[in-house]
Amino acid sequence: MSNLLSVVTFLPLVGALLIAFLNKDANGNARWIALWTTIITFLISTLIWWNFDKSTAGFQFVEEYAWLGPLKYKMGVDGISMLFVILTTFLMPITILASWESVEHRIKEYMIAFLVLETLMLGVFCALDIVLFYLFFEAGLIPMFLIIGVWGGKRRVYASFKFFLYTLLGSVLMLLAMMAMYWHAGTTDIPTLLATKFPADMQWWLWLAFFASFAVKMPMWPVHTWLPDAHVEAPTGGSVILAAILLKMGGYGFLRFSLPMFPIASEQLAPLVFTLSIVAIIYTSLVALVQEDIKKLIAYSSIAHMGYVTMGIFTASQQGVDGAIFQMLSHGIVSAALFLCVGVVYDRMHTREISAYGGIVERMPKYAFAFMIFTMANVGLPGTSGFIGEFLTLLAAFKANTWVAIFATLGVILSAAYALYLYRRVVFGELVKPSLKALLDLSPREVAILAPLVILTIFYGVYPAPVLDVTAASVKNLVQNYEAAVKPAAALLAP
Amino acid sequence: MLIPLGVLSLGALFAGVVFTGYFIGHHEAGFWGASIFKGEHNHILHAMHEIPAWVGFAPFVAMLAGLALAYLYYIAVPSLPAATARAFRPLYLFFLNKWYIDELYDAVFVRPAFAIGRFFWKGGDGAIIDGTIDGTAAGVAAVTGRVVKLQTGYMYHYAFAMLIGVAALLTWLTYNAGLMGGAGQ
Amino acid sequence: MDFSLFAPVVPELILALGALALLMVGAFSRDGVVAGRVTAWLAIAVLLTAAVYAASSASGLVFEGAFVSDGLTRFLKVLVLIAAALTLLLTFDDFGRARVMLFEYPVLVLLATLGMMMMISANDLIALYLGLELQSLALYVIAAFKRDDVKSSEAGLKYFVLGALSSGMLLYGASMLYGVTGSTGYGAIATAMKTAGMTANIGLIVGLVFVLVGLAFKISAVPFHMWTPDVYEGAPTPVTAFFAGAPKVAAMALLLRFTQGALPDASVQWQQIIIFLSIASMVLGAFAAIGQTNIKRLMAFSSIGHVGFALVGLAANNAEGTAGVLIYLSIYVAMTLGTFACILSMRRGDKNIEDISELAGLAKTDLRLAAILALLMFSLAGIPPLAGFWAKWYAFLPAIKAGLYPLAIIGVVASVIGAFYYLRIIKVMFFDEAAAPFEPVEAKALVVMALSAVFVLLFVLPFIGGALTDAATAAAASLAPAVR
Repeated sequence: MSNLLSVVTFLPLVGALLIAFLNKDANGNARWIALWTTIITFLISTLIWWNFDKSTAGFQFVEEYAWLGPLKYKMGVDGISMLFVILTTFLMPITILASWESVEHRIKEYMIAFLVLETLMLGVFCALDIVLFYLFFEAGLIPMFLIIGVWGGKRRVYASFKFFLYTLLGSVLMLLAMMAMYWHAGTTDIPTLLATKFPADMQWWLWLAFFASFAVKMPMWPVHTWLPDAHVEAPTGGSVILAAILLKMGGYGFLRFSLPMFPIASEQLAPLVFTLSIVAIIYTSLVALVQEDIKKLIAYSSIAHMGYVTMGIFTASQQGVDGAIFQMLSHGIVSAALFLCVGVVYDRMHTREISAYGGIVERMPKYAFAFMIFTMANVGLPGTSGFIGEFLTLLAAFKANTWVAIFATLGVILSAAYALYLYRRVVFGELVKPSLKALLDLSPREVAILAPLVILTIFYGVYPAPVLDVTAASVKNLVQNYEAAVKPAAALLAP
Repeated sequence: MLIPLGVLSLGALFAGVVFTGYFIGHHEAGFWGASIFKGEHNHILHAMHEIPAWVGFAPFVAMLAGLALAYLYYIAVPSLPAATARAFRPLYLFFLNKWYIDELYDAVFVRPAFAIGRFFWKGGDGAIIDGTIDGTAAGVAAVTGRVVKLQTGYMYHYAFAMLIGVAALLTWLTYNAGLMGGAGQ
Repeated sequence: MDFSLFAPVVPELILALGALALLMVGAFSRDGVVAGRVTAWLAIAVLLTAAVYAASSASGLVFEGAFVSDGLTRFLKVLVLIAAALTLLLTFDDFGRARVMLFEYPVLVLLATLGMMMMISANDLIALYLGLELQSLALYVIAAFKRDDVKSSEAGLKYFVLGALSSGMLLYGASMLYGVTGSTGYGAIATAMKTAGMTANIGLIVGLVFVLVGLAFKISAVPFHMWTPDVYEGAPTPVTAFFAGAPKVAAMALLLRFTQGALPDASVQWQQIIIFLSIASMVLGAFAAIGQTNIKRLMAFSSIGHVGFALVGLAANNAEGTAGVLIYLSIYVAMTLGTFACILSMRRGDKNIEDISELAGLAKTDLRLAAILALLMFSLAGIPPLAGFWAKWYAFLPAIKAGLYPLAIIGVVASVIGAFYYLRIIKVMFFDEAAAPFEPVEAKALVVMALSAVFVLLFVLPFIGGALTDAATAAAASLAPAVR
């Protein structure tokens, strides 16, 4: 029991090794091993979820071992990271299933890359040592680089390099900041660092360095341009993981490091984050409106949705942070589903041009239904999971700064515009294109992939409590500590 | 299909008659309860049944007038609609196009939104942000090209580079140590 | 006579006697080819024996304080000896095909290694020069070992002429230091400077600059690096592998002890030089490597960049920095050896292939080789959790402690630019369409490759990375008293 987190984290790696040592031609086996590994990982993680104590804010399932010199191998989850662990393990079997037939060459390597990636993503959310965190955070670039580059589309080389170097440049500055934190606090232990009070001017530099990394990962405007390229070129599975989980590492980083460790800098630099979030929401929504490629449109909509997350986080209030976390979770489900929907038609038509579609509801009613649910959730329609997060973050923003909230609300309208416009052009209209006449509706496998996502989208839309309950204690603790840290600073500034 | 429609039409016609007292009459307070919020001095629901009787009949009269007009236009003299449209053409078009609200929206909101979106996409993301990034990459490539050219293969060039390095380091250190008579620490 | 005096120099004696014995074996054998192979195996045995003794050699100062043996020298000597043994292992097949597997080569390698051992233990300017020249002269010869090959001869000549120039500068600097302080021993120089309160003396500065320039040439730090690409490209590949590993370690050892042992009070001066060399090397290494099409030239610029990173640790001028340099060198040597084993496996027929574009689609034709090379490239780029990341971590950590923020920031940005050309190799191997396949990997190269890959991949585990960092920290501590 005590090593449950390590088991969950490294089980996919074991699966990857198993596949690696199989016969060269055992591609079918590779699929099944990958699927079962991810399913078992998910089941074990539900065990953690089941035994998770919602009433405390501290870290649970903590493991600690000596590692390199002063560094510790330390894992643990609190209410915030618990959710991301579950989200990751839940989406992985779906991703594997989604790649069942669409990946045609080098299946073995593909499955290995995804399993390794799962280990690294879980590690990011479980690590309680900054160097360990960095290790997982940065190592994820390797499998993702290969996934985009080997199994990607036409401009895959450009996209993979852009993805890799963009995010690497952001991260190395964070690495230097971590070194400075180590010399200041004498430890790399996250719980200890959370209790450490860094001098205000040092907080500024550290905050900016961490911001460089997380803003790119998130991604925030104006360092977002790697994302549309990466999404468009990545295979469906890669896009799903990228949108659903990798982007969340930025938000998770803000919650785990920037806000609680550098509260004074966060307070002072919040206007900057608000501004960038607003620009992201409006700017990228407008850009999404004019996209001609389905994946690119969803990619831009992801950036806009992440704008609500950053806005919510830096209101540093219970509602804002709750909303941001919920928005991340919801976006994890909805964007994953949307990319899967794109994958479904891409597998049939081998194009992502919006203009190549139209009226497919006539041939694919089941598909049209699922796509509609996710489109509505993307718009943030009440009754879907997308509504809760947006509503809470807007509420918090309204309290923090009315203008921010007003501009952000504009984005809600725009999101309805681009999402419905997309849906109309793809699904409705007359089915005139001869190439579309022979389309087949969802296969049982595809139904199995999309059904859980449809259910969750609606379930969390009408009953968000299971999620908010898990995070409540940790978020409350976070906000209280933040306010306690910020107040004396504010009192000093007052005349 | 006909039977449910019949039931619904009965309701539509007579529900008002039956429930007047509950909706706006003496029993309204008991019927609505707290479902409709009212201010302290707001008695509008109660006051509604005290209006003159002709007010209540006005809609019915209007409906009859409309019925008559529709009979005239579409059954008695079917050529009348076209004639009217010809006679009042601008008004006709104005109504036909729903006051041109859609066109107004299109011009005021939709087109600008698309134009701005396209501008942000091609200009902002494409030219400025990616232009900077790709430009930096191109800059790196350009610098690389020059650096590679330094590697001429001639030994005297290499030796010369070493001597320049020595001279530069010596100059810098002696200057910095204040040994060159000039400023320094 | 008291032979315990020689206890600290046992590994050197083994090498010296071994070299002489092998010379005899070679000279009196009839079959040249057999002699070449036999002496090479014997040389490996000698190197490994010396490594065993070096790991436990006695501490102390001998030869009037000119030769020092302590934790630091033990660590570095073991590293140099292992690197030399492994590169010798890589020589057999390549030299065999070129019909130059002659007995002189292992002997020269042993002599060069002996020179390096002297460099590592040098605690006196004369000892420094002796070791350096013994090493260099042997290296000049083996650079030109494929005598019929024009490029190889050119490489040897260039290395010799420019090396002579750098040696001249070093000697000149050493004479200046002697003139200013009246001594050639590190300890005496340090004491003389302290008693005279000398920090900004023109003679000192000139001496310092010239000696450091001589050493910078050996580690190929910018702008004294220009011989490196030409020599790396021209020299036979196994020789290049040798050049890229052990000599860099030995020269860096000289730099460590010379700066911190002899000139602790002139740290303001030499730190500036090291910072300059470091920044110049990191930046030029990153930029110039991008433009290369030949993988050996690329590795030359890569090694220039890596020397810059290792110098970051030295610039910090603290005990952690010394440990950082040691860790950096160990990891760098492991990665470089593995990479050269891969480069040696790029063959079609009897011909060595050096064009990066010829690696196209290697993942399809030989996934194992492609995966190992990709692993090494990611590691050289410094991506965690691979060893190359830890090298950078331990080099930059002390620099942050010492407050050298601009140096650290320039360094990490250079590492991102540098990541581009490592990624390019991976891209060629994994993303591009397959070119004609290479010959199967030979067993000896595979051993080196596999060792390197395992080391790089498993460095994160406590019993590899932890053991190495602990050893390096302990070794660095033996230099620490002089640092403080």
